[in-house]
Amino acid sequence: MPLAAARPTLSADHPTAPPRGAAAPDLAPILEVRDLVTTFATPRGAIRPVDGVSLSVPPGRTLGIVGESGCGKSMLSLSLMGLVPAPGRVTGGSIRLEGRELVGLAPGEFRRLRGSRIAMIFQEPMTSLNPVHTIGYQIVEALAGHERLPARALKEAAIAALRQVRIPAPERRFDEYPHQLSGGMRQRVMLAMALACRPALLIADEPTTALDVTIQAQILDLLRELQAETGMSIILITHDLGVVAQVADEVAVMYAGRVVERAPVAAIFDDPQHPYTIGLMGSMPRMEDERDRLVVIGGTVPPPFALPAGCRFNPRCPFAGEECRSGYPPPADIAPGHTVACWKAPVEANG
Amino acid sequence: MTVPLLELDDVRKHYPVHRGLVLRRQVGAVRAVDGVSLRIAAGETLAVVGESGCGKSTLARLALRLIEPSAGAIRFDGRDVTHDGRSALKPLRRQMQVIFQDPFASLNPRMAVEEILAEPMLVHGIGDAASRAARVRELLGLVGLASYHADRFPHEFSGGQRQRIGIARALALKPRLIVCDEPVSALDVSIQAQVVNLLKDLQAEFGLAYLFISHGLAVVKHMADRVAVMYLGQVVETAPAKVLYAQPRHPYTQALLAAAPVPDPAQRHSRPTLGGDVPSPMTPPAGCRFHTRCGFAQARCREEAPGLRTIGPQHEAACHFAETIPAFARFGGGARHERLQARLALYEQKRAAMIAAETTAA
Repeated sequence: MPLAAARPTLSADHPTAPPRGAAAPDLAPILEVRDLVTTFATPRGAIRPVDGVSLSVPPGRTLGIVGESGCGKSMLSLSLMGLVPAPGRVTGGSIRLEGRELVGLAPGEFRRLRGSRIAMIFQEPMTSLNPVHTIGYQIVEALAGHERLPARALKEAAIAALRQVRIPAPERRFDEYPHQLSGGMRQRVMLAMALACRPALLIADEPTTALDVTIQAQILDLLRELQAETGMSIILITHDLGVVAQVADEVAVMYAGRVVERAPVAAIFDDPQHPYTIGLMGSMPRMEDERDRLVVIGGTVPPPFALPAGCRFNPRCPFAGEECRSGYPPPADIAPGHTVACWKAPVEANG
Repeated sequence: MTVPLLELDDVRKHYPVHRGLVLRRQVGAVRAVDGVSLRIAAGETLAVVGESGCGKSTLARLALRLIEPSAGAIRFDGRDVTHDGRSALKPLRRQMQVIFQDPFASLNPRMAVEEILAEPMLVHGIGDAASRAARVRELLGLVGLASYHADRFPHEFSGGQRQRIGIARALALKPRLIVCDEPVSALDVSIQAQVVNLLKDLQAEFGLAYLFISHGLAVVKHMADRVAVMYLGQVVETAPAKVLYAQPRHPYTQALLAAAPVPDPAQRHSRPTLGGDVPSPMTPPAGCRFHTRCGFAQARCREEAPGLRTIGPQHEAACHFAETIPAFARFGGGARHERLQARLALYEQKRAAMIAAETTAA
């Protein structure tokens, strides 16, 4: 019997899957991150691409992490996976996955969790797949790392995984090589591999950035459907606010290694509080707009070895004042579930 | 009608596909661009939109005469330049310049910015050392860089700044047309907005025409006067930007608009998405090339290829059923929340004040 089919699945109307965009339910989170710090020792001194990040993801929900290049979002996801490349390492804080502390976990222990409880897909499916092996072999390899099953059962499970991600003719695709597949199909294979062991949390790092817009829509739909079927939680890392609007329940906006604002997705789009989030909303070209000039965030993201004192956004911020240059603003709740780290929020009153 | 600045007339580019090492023979051809006609007026922005492999970058290279067309004619300012050789093309090259997608790969890492910007003038023998240096400083100012940047090398700049250098280089010869091949696709959203605004300002100042190649429909909406949508080497619909976004008549244009994620969490519903992948340009489907993925395809679409035909003022579509397929509306409202609108206005006001303060300080 195919492995995947033998397992119970949650239906779309399962009680743990509340309507999208609704306030987060009071369920024990699948993932709880507290004050996470990842440090790299470099010749120019220690840099911290992730510098005190706190997050939580409830079961069956999607957290969108938004930020520009260099904001630390990819390093955050590698920290969660225990895959920070040397000379970097997690130097502070805590990551609890299903109640279990991951910081300080032995590499062997982490390897058992990776793939089975927490899985990841990347932006570029071509470079994440091995070109000299069939996709079937690669899915079986991923499965065999976690399940002790006879070869035939492994093959059946791999085919079931391909079927689950709606790949047509999975029996035939099993024997094909990555170069024989289109970009969208390769991303489906990556998803099949990531989901084969039924992880509780999927980290998707820019999963649709390399894809065309019609293929992107297919993959986003598929992610939504798979989440409804399996009840997994998703962390979706992206720079595309449109994608966030379509799939996230909650959003964390990152800037220079820190989360500057966290809110339910509706509040991020209707009521952004941090000047950086406001600027992002204005810079995003929208088909819905008639206006032809975009709001601009001046300047660029500071490099991690030359961070400004105080709030890291202050040199680019139109609202910045003295206090912004002297101390980093502590995250404060501005509404239920809406946290912002800004001395000037709300900008109407304090700007 | 006035003479268009650039005119492509039934342009084709077929790349032969060979097989066999000893007995090399042609087994087919990739029809990258397969019969495209476009016109760009002076000072106008024509955007070419399509997915990977639709031939839009090949079209850009054809327009620039960087590659030889297999058939068709290219006219610049009314003159047929299709068969011009290198020396005849040289004066033309001053008139049309290009900005590439990848600001990392398109600047020579061994040259200082000053040399990069002066090189087009050197090649065309314009001015002397002093006047070129003055022009370099002028160009840096135009794209929002400072004169002290002239001595620096590309690796010292961020992606957005490098793209500004690429734009300055394209402006060096005072061209009339700039082909922009995905100029903001590699940039972050805040930087993208800076570059889009810069391109618009430069157009207003110098009356530039842009051939703007992009897969990003939202960016195109902010840039283009007219839009041509390409699919598998052919234009399937062309219209003024406003018309194309409000009343797309080709099913592929509708699908592209539907697939782009709406940046509004309140409008979140699974829209019908286009199934399947783009077919190979080596063996395009018979009849209408889009019929394999089209929800409205009928027997006629599988047999007879539709040509572009006029369906409204300046509006052409290549679909047998352009008049009868259901109208498509992407946007039910879609306006920004009032609170956000007010906050953006406040942001802009504060930013203007910040820029004014910085200018007086400097």
